[in-house]
Amino acid sequence: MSWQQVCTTDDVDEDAIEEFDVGDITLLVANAGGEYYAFPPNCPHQETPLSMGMIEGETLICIKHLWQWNLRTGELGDNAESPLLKYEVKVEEGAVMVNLEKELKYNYQ
Amino acid sequence: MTISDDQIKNLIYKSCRLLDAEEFDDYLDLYTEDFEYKVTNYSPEIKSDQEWMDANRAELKGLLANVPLHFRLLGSFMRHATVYDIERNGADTANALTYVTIYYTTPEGATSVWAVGRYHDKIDVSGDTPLIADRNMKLETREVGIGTHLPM
Amino acid sequence: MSRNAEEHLSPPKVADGESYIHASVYTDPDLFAEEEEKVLRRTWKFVCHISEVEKAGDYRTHQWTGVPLVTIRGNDDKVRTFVNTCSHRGAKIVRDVAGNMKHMTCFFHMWEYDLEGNCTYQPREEGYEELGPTKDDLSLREIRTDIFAGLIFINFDGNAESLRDYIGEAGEPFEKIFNNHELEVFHYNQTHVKGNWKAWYLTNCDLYHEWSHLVNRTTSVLTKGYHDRPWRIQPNGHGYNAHHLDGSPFQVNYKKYKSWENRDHLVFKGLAPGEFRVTDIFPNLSVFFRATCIRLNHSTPIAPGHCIMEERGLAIKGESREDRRMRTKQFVQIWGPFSRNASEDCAYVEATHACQEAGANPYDLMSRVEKFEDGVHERIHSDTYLRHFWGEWSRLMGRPANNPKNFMEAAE
Ligand code: FES
Repeated sequence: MSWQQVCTTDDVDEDAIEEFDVGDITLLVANAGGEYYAFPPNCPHQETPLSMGMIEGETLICIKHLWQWNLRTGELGDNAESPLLKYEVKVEEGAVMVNLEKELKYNYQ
Repeated sequence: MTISDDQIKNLIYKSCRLLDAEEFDDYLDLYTEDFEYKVTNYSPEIKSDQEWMDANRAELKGLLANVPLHFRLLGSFMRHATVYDIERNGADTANALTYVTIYYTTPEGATSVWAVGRYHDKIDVSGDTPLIADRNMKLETREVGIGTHLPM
Repeated sequence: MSRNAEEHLSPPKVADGESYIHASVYTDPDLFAEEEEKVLRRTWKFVCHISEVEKAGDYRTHQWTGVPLVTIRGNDDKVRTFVNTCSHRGAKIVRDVAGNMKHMTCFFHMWEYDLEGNCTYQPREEGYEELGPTKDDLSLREIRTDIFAGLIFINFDGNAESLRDYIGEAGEPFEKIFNNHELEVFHYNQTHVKGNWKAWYLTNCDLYHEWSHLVNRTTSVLTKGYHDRPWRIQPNGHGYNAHHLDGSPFQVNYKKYKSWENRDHLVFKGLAPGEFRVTDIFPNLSVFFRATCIRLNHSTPIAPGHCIMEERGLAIKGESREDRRMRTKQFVQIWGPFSRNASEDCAYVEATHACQEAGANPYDLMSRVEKFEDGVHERIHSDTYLRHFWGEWSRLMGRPANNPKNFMEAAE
């Protein structure tokens, strides 16, 4: 699988995070101020579902220990001790396309 | 078609069963769009009625969505209810009075009475199915252990 | 690597011995009894708000260190507290929790006392003429009672300093605001907590635990400047946490919790929108502000593992029904038996006590230090106040909180 349509832009409200399944891959799509980002479903820290997280501007916040990442730059924000893995995303005529060439996974201990 | 007393009773009993099962979305479907939900009691300490919970649809929805993220009492609740009285207010609404006993069961399986109270419901009977327009859970019990995040 | 029994039982490896306590301070019956004498009967203890005894004859019954008490407003408008027991056979005189009366009548032999505690009537009084005593010898035992910013306190110790001196600068965050309005209690609840009274109080004073409340995590910890507030430590075991170091208020972002509004209407005069403050008055009263809401929280010790926790909400007397409803709604979102935070706090205290009572966790750590750049002030997630509390407790008890039992055995 490479580029796949995961959803449409209307499926994810502004500042919301939604979960989708494409084949065997579960992923989250976030809409941060009209920009779309896709990433694995759980927090790199303790596997907390990031679907329960918060979006503030460009920042993704995990609800559990408030690890934060800048979704656009990937930069680590407050509390975060390791990076967030992201899928490549492009929006084509209202379709949110994600490069699912390879499922992104964390090496949880 | 007029809504029967049995339909009203079934609505109230269903609200108990869905809360027991923590099926919150279905529970909210039993209410009108602009319902008001309250938990109240009389406090002899301050000689006055008081509200311990007061939420509209949006607030209750927000709360119930957050419940899994909160730390809370482990174990389960079981509500036992009896509708004592249904009174019609014209064609569109009815008032129902229901006595409720709430049992609490610990994760180890020990059961005790958690609270007793009365539902004072206003029921919307103007449509095909009855809906709860307002609920006031008037608690007789005021000592509820560590408390709860849930409506009762 | 996990620890073996010996390692587990030896004191924590911290640089400062005052930064941990031994769990027996929460569980030991001898310490509990001694604490009643040396701490609880020698310090000023919060009873209730003046609005609860507004008119002459209004009373409120309660107990402290097991002694039944009644606080009542006299015909001279003075609020007094009496030991609530008849001088005759010791029956409890006032049996209701609150109410109004013209005089106090004991239900056993119908002796009567006036609101100032004088014994004023005995049926067939002549029966005492031969042997005595006279009614003058039978007035009620009065307990020192005083009022600070509308809060009624008692002290069993006749020689203790005045209430105003006792509270001192710790009244700064709340006195003015309380005096800006005529307040009344609109919310009351009490809960029997299976935990020690100090553990309840210190949960209020431990702001590091804000991590565990979903509400605090989302509405406060995430807010800019959250950590830039210092603990303000005060004499007599008090402390508070209010402004940032630069003096600006800390404003909570209530909107961050799903379906909540920010608190910018109905804010008490003297507070900024959303402003949070907490003042901790030794031994056990916490005064909270959450912009539109005031909470008074304390507990009554019953046994080492049992206290009765009380929550009161204060509102402005005479405000409109809509305003009161909104204020109530916001209060019970966070406090009270159906709230987000109070029930979580109860769970923490009970879970802790269960382990301590079993001896499973011999020590309680309070070694957090997060300093400001000035190297002096400590940030709110420091255990500054906890160390201060236990310092005062140790001073009054004459025992170090980190080793109170050994000390006890050595003394015996
Ligand atoms: S699990 Fe996400 S921040 Fe810890």
